[in-house]
Amino acid sequence: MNLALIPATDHDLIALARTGSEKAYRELLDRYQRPVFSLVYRMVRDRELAEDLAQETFVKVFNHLDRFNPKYKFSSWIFKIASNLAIDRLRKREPDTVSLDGSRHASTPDEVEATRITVESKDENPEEFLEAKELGEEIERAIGLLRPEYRTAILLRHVEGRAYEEIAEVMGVPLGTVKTFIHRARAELRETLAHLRIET
Amino acid sequence: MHLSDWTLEQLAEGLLPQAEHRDASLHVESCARCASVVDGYHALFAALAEMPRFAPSPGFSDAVIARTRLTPEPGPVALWLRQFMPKTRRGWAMLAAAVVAPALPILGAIAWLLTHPLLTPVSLWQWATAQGTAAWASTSVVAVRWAANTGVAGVLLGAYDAARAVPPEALTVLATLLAIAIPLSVWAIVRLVRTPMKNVTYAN
Repeated sequence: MNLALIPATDHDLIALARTGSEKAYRELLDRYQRPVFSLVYRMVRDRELAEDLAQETFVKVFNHLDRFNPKYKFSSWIFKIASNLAIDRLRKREPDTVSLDGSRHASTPDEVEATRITVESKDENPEEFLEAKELGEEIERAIGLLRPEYRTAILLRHVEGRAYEEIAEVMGVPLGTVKTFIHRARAELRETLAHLRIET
Repeated sequence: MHLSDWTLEQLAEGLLPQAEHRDASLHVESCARCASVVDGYHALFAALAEMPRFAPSPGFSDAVIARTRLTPEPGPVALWLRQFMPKTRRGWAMLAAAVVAPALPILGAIAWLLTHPLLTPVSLWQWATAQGTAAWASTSVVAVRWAANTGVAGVLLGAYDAARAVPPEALTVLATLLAIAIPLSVWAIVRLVRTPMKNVTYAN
């Protein structure tokens, strides 16, 4: 299979990776490193720890591809492992605040730019940009105040755009519980963000 | 009467069934309070959807690949066989015992026989040739008898004649060896099967 010509599905890539294709592993990494890292980072709120946990997630997944059940989505499996690792870690330590700086591993200004947490805005107006940046940071902080389970559910739903059923699969809880988590998380977010323009 | 928060959330997400969606939309058009709640959800969802995805450090992919086993997975037959492969030193010791146990008494018997002064390579060869010829003759007899007395009785009679052609000493030695080797081998196989061989780990 030529990965450059055919937009391979996750399942195709897994089959290829199981034959030892490094290209297939790298393609899976390209697809999932940002979603997985973002989820873990927003969970643990520590860049270095998030890097370690995201790396651990991929290593676990890649070294146990033979245990992947093709009946399920690959994304569900990898998010499940990532969120389990993050929640386990959260139970052991108190989270820090979000660092807005780039990766400490970045060695060039471009790399710093590529890895820093930035709240982007499509607007050219500096005032609007600052407002959007402030809003983004407020939302990040509000999410940080949620219980880990609520945080996982709301991030998977609204940042990753996952269906309720898939979130239930990822979190290993009934669908009704996911709905409750998301409903309560939204209520808490609205309350925390009530002072911002978001409520108007 | 206002709609429940959950219904308004579902409406804002566009997840209500068609009929409910229509009814809820009609209500929201005429209810300022519910309309405000739906607007609030729309704004919240939009703000959450705008949240960026963070990038890990530049060396992330290489670090993962460096810790990944890139060796191709074995085929189905090899995978099937692998489940019987011992994973512990004890398991390997048991497997070795199962294989070696039947061979040891045979090798011992051969070594003992070779110490006999009358046993030389030439005499052994002559004996083996004579036995081979006798066995062939017995087989022929069995075949002839089987042909003559088609049935189990003929075959058993032929087998008995063939066994009589083998010297009783040789039969005794063979029976003794098998009496030792077979139970020993069975014991080793049973221990091998009962020994946990896998270090089970889970990916999640």
